[in-house]
Amino acid sequence: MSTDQLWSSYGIPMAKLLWKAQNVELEGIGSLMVVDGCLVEESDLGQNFFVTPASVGQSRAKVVSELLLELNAEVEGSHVQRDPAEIIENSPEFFQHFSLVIATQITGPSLYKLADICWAANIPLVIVRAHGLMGYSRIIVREHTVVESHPEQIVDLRFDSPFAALREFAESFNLDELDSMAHSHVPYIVILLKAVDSWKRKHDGKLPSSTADREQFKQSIRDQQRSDMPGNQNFNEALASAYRAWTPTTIPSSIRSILNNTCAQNITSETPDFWIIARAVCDFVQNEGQGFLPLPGTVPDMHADTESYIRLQTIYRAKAREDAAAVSERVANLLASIGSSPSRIPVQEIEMFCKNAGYLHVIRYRSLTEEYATETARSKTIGNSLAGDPQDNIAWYVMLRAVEVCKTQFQRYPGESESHYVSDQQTVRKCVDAFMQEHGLDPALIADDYVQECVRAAGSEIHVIAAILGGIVSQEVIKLLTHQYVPLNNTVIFDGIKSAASVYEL
Amino acid sequence: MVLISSEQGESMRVMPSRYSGVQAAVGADLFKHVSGSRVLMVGAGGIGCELLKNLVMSGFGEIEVVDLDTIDLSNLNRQFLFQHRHIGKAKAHVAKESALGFNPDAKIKSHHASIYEAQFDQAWFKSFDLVLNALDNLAARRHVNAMCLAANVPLIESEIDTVLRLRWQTQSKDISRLYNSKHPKRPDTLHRVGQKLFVQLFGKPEDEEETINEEQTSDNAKEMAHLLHEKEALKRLREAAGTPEYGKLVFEKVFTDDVKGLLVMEDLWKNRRPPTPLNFAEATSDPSVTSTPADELAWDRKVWSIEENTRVFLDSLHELAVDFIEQQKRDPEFSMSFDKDDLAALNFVTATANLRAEVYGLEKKSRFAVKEMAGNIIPAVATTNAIIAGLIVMTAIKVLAGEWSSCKNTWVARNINPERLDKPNPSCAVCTINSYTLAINTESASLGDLLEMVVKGSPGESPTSGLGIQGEIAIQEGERLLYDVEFDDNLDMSLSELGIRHATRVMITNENDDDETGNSNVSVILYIEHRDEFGMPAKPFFTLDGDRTLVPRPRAPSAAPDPPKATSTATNNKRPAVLIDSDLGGNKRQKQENGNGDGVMHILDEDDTVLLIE
Repeated sequence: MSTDQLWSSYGIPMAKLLWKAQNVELEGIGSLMVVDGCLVEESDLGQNFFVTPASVGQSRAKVVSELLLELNAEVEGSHVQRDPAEIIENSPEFFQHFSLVIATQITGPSLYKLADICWAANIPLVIVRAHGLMGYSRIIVREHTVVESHPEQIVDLRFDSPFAALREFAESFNLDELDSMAHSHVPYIVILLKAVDSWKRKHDGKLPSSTADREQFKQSIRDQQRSDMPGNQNFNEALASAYRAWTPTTIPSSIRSILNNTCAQNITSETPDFWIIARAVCDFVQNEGQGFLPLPGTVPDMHADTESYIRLQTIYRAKAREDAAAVSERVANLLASIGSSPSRIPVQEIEMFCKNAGYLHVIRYRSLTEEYATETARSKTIGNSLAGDPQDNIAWYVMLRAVEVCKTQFQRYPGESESHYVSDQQTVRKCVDAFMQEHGLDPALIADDYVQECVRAAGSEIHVIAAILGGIVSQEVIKLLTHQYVPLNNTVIFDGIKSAASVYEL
Repeated sequence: MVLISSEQGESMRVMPSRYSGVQAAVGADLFKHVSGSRVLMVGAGGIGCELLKNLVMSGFGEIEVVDLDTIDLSNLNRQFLFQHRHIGKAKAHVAKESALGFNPDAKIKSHHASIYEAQFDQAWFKSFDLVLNALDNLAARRHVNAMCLAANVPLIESEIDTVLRLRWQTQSKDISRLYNSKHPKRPDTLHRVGQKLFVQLFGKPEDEEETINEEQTSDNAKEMAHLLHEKEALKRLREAAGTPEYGKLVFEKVFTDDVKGLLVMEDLWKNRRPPTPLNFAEATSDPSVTSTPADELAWDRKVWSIEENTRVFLDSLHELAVDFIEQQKRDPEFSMSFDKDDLAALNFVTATANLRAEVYGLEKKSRFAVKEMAGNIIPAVATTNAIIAGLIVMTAIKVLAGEWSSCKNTWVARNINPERLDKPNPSCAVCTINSYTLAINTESASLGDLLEMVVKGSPGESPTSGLGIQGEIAIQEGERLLYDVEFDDNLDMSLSELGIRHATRVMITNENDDDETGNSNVSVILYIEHRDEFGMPAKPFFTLDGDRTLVPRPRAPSAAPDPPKATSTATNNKRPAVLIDSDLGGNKRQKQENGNGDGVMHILDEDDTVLLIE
């Protein structure tokens, strides 16, 4: 993986930044850069395990990036000793080189501007904040596509619509003529294919749909069991998977909407590979696919004799290869039509896409502007969550927004100054009330306990919370960079008191 | 130091101290508890490294670390306290040194030792406010669990299962006694054994001499001698590569001699099936066996026989060795790394795993299955370790604050989900064991004394009163029967002659046929504390701590054999734990984890984490 990362840290502490950086380090990020304008202070020692008493007074960015590399010598690291806020203000082009930006403890106008810069340049931004015993992270990407979402299992066996080779294979079995041994080793796929076929013959080509139909269908399978060998494993497997046989093979609506998306329908030379293959699959479905997605070709484990199992595997795989080849040809034609070389998209990538075609994900994240503008804010999400449970983690979100306003106004966190402790509580309460009213919500939904806890924490960033948040965020960063697994959409809030994390789309 | 800041500008601000953040967040009073606490951490592997760092960063007072392992190349990708130069050194010591670098004020004591050793007795366990398990193997966890239950010290348990499934658990005698009823399952890790041997034979040679000499000063000279011996043996093996006997040498070292060496350690096999060494001559007796079958696809899916595995093992080993020697001629530094797509390497790992499985009586796998497991390893575990270790410390702080009600069992799957702590399970076979510390002179007291005075002696308030157990009594040490109604040969022997010494655990069980007596069946463990002066004039013969009210053993459910064994009862009480994943990513996932721990697996899995994703 060759990747540039920007680790941007701001304000007092940065344990989290480090912690996260460390995690990503061990997991193989290509290169990363730490940006921080501060010098190491005594208080950093308790938050940031990278800095030692000997580092006090040195550039924090330098100390951190050097020690990070000790963890993994294969990573290229660099640092910039500049205040991130100043870079955001004066050199927005600085961010263009990175494949991902992580902003820790950056709030207020600097954050909004950074979010705009990344949005415009189409660079994923991950915002991370820790406040006392609470942690927050938000992901912002215009569009994130996932082919390898790693579903629990990929099952597409076509019981209701067997392709020719599969149908012929099933027909080659005559259950009545087999001896008991062979009968008990007929793969359940064959048992079900035969059962569906015979049902459809008797029911105008329809699948069992009512509860009574389905029970009858299962009974028809039970009836074929030999009385001398009841409870055979292959029949049990057939009964357990009977629901797959009466579920019609369809294309899920989420996948349909991806295939029909305008990005896939209007191909230009700028179109990303994902959408070109999606278009090819869409065309495939409408033509040689006869309404079905490309076959994944995987066959689950089952009770069967080796020979028939391998035959089955070969049949499904051959069909999968045939489908993928048809899609590849369509991809090549599409590439030619936009003047790209057919080698632009490797065959393996197309095969992977075909195998996972039923499990694709496209996430379009909401921008920070949409989240912050009152008209487009998700007030309902906030209100409903609080109405359901006044201690819902969303309360911390409201608190963070209030703290952000205070921080921008006073240039310090509420609670940081002891002499203002009481007035800070009042200020935060006012900010909370204002936020709630702006969003059409009852301010009383946020209890005073939250205000007190927030002011007490005084913007402290403690190591343990930073470590947890760092772990969570680095997993999401890895998902975003590798396009594997489905990253969260779009906000996670962790409450260290409850030991619970919640995800919201805000 | 308390955070003081004034509004007179930056120059006047008092520099906040190392702990100002955590003090502000948890409050000054609670922080005093934290900084005054004594904490034991068992295990310094994946979670342990993160945990120790968190503990010293959060200002925990005194920390003791126990780990028997030495550092291996494969640890370095996530156990960040260790670096390449530490390979071969004791994990506990290196972890301590590295953590002191983060906080020189921390008080850490490290033990390169097994947690089963006699030095870690009840008195030692009782000296802690809290015990944190960061262990990979079930047997050691059960041991620590039992020790904590007996010592009444809270235990926080944690487990890494896969990248997506982790959990930690809090437990104390008062709150939850259920841990052992819900113990975890070890995913299949056999293939890692194969990969490990591959690295040992063809990977980067470790820098033996230097690291071992540095450790010579340690108390564990014996351990070190063994290690040195091991490395010598490995070195000789590597040197024999390419010779005609090479295959036989490796085979016999790994599957015959090492296994025999393990068999000698009888303690290991008290509660589990001992391994069976393989015989090279037998395994190669059929000359018709081939490793190059006609039908590759069928061969891939087939579970090979012992003879086939041996053939594949020898052929792939030869192929790899020839290649290895050839490459080393060009580059003396050459080393191989395992690649699942290299057929010879995959064959080697599959055959090794299967031969090991044969030794331990475990299920063998097809090459296809091994490839799937080996290939699915994804390097994302450092992140989950970080999450879990953070959660452990948050809980540790709650425990020290006495806020039991806010302690939760927490699952980290696709989200972080807290669960209420389980209520004590009245039929848990582990926590219905009554534990006592028995102080006695093991030289002068006989087994008969123990039976008559301690076990049957009439109960009362005094520490010198007995337990008053009636019925058919059996006394065991581990699985070794010392006494029952039909076996009284040992009664006149002294405890020490019977091998019962300081820190030995003695198990007492009884059977009351007659329910009308009101006496119920009980299980008692006596933790022996040897006292030289006991039994002398003016000294008590023995003392027992705690009151004499015995918790009855649960009425044996059908699955529970009687009597329960000291450390392996948990399998009787397993209960499936259902884990429902979060809405993260939108797809609900339900996973059943049934506590099907295999006491053997940990020996196979010398590494501490499992990186499988199903």
